[in-house]
Amino acid sequence: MNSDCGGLKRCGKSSPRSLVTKVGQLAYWSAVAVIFVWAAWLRFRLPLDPLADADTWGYLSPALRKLVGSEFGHTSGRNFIYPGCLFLLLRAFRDFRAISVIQHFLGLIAGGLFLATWSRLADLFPRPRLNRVAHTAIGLFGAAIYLLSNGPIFFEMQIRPDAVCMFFEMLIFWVTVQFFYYRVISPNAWKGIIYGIAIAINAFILASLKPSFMLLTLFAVASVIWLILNAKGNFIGKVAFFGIALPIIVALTLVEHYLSRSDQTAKMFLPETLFVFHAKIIEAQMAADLKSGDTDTYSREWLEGACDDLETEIQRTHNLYSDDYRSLGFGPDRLRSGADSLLHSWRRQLGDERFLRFLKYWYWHSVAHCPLAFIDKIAGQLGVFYSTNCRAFSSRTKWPLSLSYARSLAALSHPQSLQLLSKIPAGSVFLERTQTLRFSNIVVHQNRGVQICNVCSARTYLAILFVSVPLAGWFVLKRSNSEESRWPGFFLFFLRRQFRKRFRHLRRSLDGSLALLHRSLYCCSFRAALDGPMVD
Amino acid sequence: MCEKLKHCYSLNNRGRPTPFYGSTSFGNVFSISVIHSMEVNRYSTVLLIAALFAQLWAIRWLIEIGLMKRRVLWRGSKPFYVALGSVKMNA
Repeated sequence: MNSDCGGLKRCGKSSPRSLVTKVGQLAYWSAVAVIFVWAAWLRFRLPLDPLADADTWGYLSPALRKLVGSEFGHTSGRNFIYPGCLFLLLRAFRDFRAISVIQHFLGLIAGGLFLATWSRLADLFPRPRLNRVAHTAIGLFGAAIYLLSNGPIFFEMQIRPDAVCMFFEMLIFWVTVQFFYYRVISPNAWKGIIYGIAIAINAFILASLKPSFMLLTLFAVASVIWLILNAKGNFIGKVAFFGIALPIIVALTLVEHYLSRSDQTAKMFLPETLFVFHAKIIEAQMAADLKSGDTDTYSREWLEGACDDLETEIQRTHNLYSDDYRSLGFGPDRLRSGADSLLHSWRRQLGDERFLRFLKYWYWHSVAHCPLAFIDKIAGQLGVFYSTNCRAFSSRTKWPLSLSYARSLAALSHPQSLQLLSKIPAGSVFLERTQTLRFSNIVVHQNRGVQICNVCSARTYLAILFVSVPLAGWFVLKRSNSEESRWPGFFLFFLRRQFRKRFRHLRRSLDGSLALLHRSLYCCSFRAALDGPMVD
Repeated sequence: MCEKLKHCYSLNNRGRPTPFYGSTSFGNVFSISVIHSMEVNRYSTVLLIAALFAQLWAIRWLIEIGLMKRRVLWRGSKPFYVALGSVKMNA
């Protein structure tokens, strides 16, 4: 909206154009107000007592321990940032509802950041073919889908960092766009440095909250460092960037390391995760080694027993959880959760050190011997998200809240949780209210329009990605090549040959959207090339 | 440097922001696919805001491309068959 504001300031007296601008701005801010009021109503009409699940203990227990006077430390291999925030909230407000309230506000702020980022992106097009009104309307539409969907609201009610992660994702988008704006479009060295520092710190916090965001963090931080180092002059700014961002990141890392020193789960978490989620491949490798007699590292008898147990457990969980993990074909979490789980029994038999070595050995041994099986597993998992029904967009129409509270109560009813919660007044009240709410019979229905938008987005996500990313790549090649480069030509020539060879096969074997995607790519780029020289 | 960057990240270079926003989800999905499983619903749902933003940006960018004149679209490179040298460019 910046340029619009500029337009308003420039107009000294009332003219038809300024009137249109004023009406446009009024319509925009009215739409923003309606969306945010509606989003706030959707959030705050629900009970504010947060929901717990099986992972909640890892986030909540450090805060509860500190509140009852014990030491704050890691539990179940979780980080310290989210539990630390929970501790501060519970200490300040002495009410568990503060968790949901703050997370709801973060959700609304994320919607605001969505609009701010989208608005700033318009400045990257100095001569846009699509006018500003249409651009703004697309942004409003996106913010409305996010703010009015049930998925984010459900996350904001949970005691886990997913809602906070969504906020940080959007914050990183915003600071990144701001960084590029002040670095490239409207150069301002110091503002660029400030946004650069913000990117580095936010990216680190996001990766700390959820380690799966590590690649995004590395990508964003590496880009920023490269751009700052390559900027001409402003030596003091570069020193300030490293002088501020680096100590903060190092301090957070040291705190994380210090607090996790007594958490045994932190050491076991990654090896156990890698083992159980690749258990099928590892079991096949164990069986192959037993067959070939290559069992020097472990005794043959023990390994035979372990292999049989693993096979039995995979089969058992396949029958029980085949719907939850269709691609994997078994329930990996069941191999390690519970005192009677397979991994626990191995840990008892081997001891901590040998058990850790066992997990690491079999994972890396299997990676070395069956790399294709691992690639196949990764491709299968990528296919779960990059499918014709992208799971990022919630398709759930009904959300029975009483069921969620019943599960929450079950998660909080472990003896350790009950003991700690009953020691603080806010904990006892929280338990009582959760117990009441599980009989509340509240069912949250997703708005039909929002539901349709979610379904359409889920269905078209892959097709749009497959059309836009190769096209964007082609533009990059075209731009970076100069006159004599032949890469774009070869790229299109190769695509054309491949399509000619396989188009019929593709249409038969893949679903309709993938065929449509190839057609679109063919039409958009290849056809244009065939049409000959450009004549305006 | 600044002019070069301006050229790279915006304006007439009509490609780069799209892979950037697509990569934010991809980095996460790839990490989870390597270590864990994307079949856990919350790993996908947490990407809603990033996926939605990337998708809308891609749509907006495709509209921009669609509205461009072909002359502008092709400025700076030759058609592939000219580059390959197999067909003579028509006058």
